[in-house]
Amino acid sequence: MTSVTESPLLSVHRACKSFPGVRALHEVDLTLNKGEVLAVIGENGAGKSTLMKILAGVQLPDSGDIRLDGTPIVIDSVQTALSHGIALIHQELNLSGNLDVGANIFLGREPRRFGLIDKQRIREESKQVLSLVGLDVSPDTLAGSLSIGRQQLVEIAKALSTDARVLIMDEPTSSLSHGESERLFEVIRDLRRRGVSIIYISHRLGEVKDLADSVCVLRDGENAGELGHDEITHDSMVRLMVGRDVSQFYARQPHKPGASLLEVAGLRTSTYPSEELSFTVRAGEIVGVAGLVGAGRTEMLRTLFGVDPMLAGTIRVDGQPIALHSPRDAINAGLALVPEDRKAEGLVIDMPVRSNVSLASLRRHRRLGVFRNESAERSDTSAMIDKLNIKTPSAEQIARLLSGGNQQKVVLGKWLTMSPRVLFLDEPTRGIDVGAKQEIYSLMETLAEQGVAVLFVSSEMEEILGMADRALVMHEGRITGELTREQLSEEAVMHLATGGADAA
Amino acid sequence: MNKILGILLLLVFVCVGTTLLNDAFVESFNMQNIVRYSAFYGIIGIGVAMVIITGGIDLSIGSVIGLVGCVLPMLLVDNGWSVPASLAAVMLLALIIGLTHGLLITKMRLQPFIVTLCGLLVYRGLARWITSDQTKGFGSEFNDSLRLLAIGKPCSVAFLTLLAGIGVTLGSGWQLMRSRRTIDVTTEGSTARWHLPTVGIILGLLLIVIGGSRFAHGYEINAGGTLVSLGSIDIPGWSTRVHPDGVELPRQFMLWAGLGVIPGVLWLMVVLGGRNPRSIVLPLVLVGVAAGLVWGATWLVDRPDDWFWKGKKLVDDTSWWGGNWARTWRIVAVFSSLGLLMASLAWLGQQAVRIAGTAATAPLLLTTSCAILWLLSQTPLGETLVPAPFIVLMLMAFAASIFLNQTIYGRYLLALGNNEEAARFSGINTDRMILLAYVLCSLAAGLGGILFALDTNSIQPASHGNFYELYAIAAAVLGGCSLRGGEGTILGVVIGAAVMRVLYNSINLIGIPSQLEFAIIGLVILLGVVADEMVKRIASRQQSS
Repeated sequence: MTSVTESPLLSVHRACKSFPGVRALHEVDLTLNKGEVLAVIGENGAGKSTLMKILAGVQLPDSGDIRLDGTPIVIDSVQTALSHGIALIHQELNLSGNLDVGANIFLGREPRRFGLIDKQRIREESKQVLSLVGLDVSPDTLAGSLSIGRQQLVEIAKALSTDARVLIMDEPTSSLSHGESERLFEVIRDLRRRGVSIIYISHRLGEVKDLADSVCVLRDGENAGELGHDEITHDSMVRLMVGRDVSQFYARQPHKPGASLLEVAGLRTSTYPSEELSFTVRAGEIVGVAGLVGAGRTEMLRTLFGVDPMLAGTIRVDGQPIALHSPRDAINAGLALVPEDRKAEGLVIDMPVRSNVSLASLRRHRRLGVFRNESAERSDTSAMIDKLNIKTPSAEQIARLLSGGNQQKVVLGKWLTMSPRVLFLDEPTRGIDVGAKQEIYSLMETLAEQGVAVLFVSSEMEEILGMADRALVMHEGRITGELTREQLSEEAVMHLATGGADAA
Repeated sequence: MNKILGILLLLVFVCVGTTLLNDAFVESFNMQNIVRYSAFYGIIGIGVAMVIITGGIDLSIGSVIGLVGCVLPMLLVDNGWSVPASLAAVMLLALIIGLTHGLLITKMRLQPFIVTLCGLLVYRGLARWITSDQTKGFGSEFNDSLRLLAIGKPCSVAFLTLLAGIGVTLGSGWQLMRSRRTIDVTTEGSTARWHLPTVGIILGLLLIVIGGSRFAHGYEINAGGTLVSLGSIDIPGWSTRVHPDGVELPRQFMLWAGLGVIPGVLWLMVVLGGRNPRSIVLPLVLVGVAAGLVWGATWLVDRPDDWFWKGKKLVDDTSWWGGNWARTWRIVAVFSSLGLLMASLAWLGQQAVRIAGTAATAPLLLTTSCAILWLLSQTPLGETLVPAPFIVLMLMAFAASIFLNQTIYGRYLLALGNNEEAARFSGINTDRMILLAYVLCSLAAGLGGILFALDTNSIQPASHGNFYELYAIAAAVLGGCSLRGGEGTILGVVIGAAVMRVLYNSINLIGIPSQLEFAIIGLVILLGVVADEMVKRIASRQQSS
């Protein structure tokens, strides 16, 4: 597309970045030419976000160099990145819904006149950038009154108003409808014609195939390969993303599942009220739930656990229908949920390990109806510290001070003291180190062998492929397919997760 | 724990400083008053602490106190209801108010600030309306019965000391027996746990001796009445009249016990100084210097007229702010040198713990108790009677701390205050717990309202209880409750309430213009919170590095 002799617009060479316990990026290279759409793909945790944060000045790399037009630059803040013409559009919208569109576009760098905000100039310049993205709204419109798709376009207009030469878009379509996505693609193509370079991050391989001039694949924080325009196919991308021998990490025996333990029929969640979910999980079975972000998997678990209201449907545990109005009902029925966000939902983060492990079982052990049984708390906690190998100086350590993996084990410990019959896990290994991951996998194994029904949600393809006896794949609130262990493959899951079954 | 220690030090600081500046502070009449009013604020403070722990707030307390204060005399005096019926009726009123707040906050998802702010306005308006703004009171009819609940002095300090001694001894003994079972857990914590009960038993026995010796001599109990008869036990053979020697004996006992400070200091010097002289000698020297400064400040600055330099008066008495130079000088000198003394003592203690580890806690605690005994021996505590509200507060604080620390519901409150979502995900009915917190808060306000009304006996519907919610909140915050929720101790709140009251009293006694009262209380609270925040930051910085 661009002439070969010209040096690339932006290049990253041997970038490294580590966080405590995690190596996020290791000697990653990236090259972006002028007027090019470069797609960066990879599984969750492959290092895409870290790389983009480095380019946008949110984080500094530990080593490696970044060149713009062949000149080495240091991007130490978002302001520096913007002054070099690099703008990042976050996955979550960052607009102030209470301000109008013009004010949002110029937020933090309002043009002044006599010391006051020059509203006239904001209006005029906003109109210009809005027309660039093909958005026909008045700059005086309240940002919050626009649809999500239009807000996304305002975000892009905001980035363009800073004279950005490089636009980084982090999963821009994750919350857009089909029509809105199409509109966005047109804008992207139009920007490309104007010479703006775009780094496009997405899980949706179909979009990537349509849009990208080249593809950079990351895996475990390293370059897994690059694909030129003609090489971009669904298969080639998946091959590079998964890459390694999956079975090694998850060496495990398939289970002989028992009788069906959890039966869900016609479940409607408040997020997708029009979709009905039905499935069963048998005793001693590990069932994975795959799907893209926003497919309604977390919402399904929340509803099954009584956190979110259940609009319709029946849930049977061991054949007995249960009435589900609150988490307490779920717990009484023998269910347990390790939630997605352990800091917000799993842990009372400023309390000691002991208080966290005992929080759910306090009621069970109470004396005289109201009094805590402290010795039961202590023995439960030390049992869990041993069993789960929680690395903590003592049971009285504040949960906040533990590492992510150990925090997750504390949450697991809380539920294991309740000896649940059905265990729900939502992204059980997100943000934790490899060692702790392995321990959590083997714990899931052990529980399944003891006859617990395990249902886990994961966005990591490998986890689904490696751990699940059976997988449910969800897309936009619907279970689009069910795959047995024999049928499980990256392609099959991706196909169903992107709504492939509907199209076929 | 550190927070309670901090606020306790602040209390000691203000008390000792005020006493140095004006002996009237420790007179029994003054002490009784401080204790009585601290108890009122402590009661409503404990109530609001429950709500603050959940991360909420209750602004309506003052108006609830006003409303209860109007309704109670109306029922009792104007309508001739019986005492139990009237009390039950006003407590029911408080209960309904709390339920309403709780339901609006949990079911309608309204913000606590708004709900209780509206409550503040509504109950005040109601109180003024039902009374037509007429002052209400109980007359003199209840002076010897119901009003004793607020103004009675049912027992002597000695009696309470004896009770406390028995309580501490038994409690520590139980702890000691329990810890023996788990002594094989050889962590730092349990070694300390083993020592603390021993110290507790020694302390408890000491209290029994002090209290008992005084109790045997006995005091006139002037709470006859029908309702309040606590401590008015007439044990045959034990006179209920003041024995002529009754005052001196325990005071001297305390004085001698206070000499236990000396072996404590010797222990510090010999044992710790031997191990690491530099770290112990420097703080010891500083303590000495600071003590000298305190002495200088109280003794020398007391006589500004005697200060001459080349025939010219050094300290001019020209009015500066509302008072005179000399007085201002004295206040500043006494408090700053006392602050230096306490800080250097704290440093000394810290060094001792650093050198000797947890083994130092027991001797330090004993030395500190001896020092407190010595300080107390300088006060006429023996002639002091305990006001009835203080006993109400003690009972309530005891119940509240059992609730907060020993029941599953207390744990639920603390957990949901820190992270409501996580509590909900753990199967806790968070709505019901929050509702409970608001009910408890309003009930405490109702109880406080009854006591305040009985105490004043002249209730102005438009102003009775104004701002009291803010005193209660201030006491809770001073006592270590975080407005973000999830943090707080009952003991802290009680001490916080005492600090508020002592500050108020101190301002009057040391001659600071009373116009500055609010400003000074506000500044002290602010300083307390800033200090707390700074300690937290330093701690987290040390953690991360």
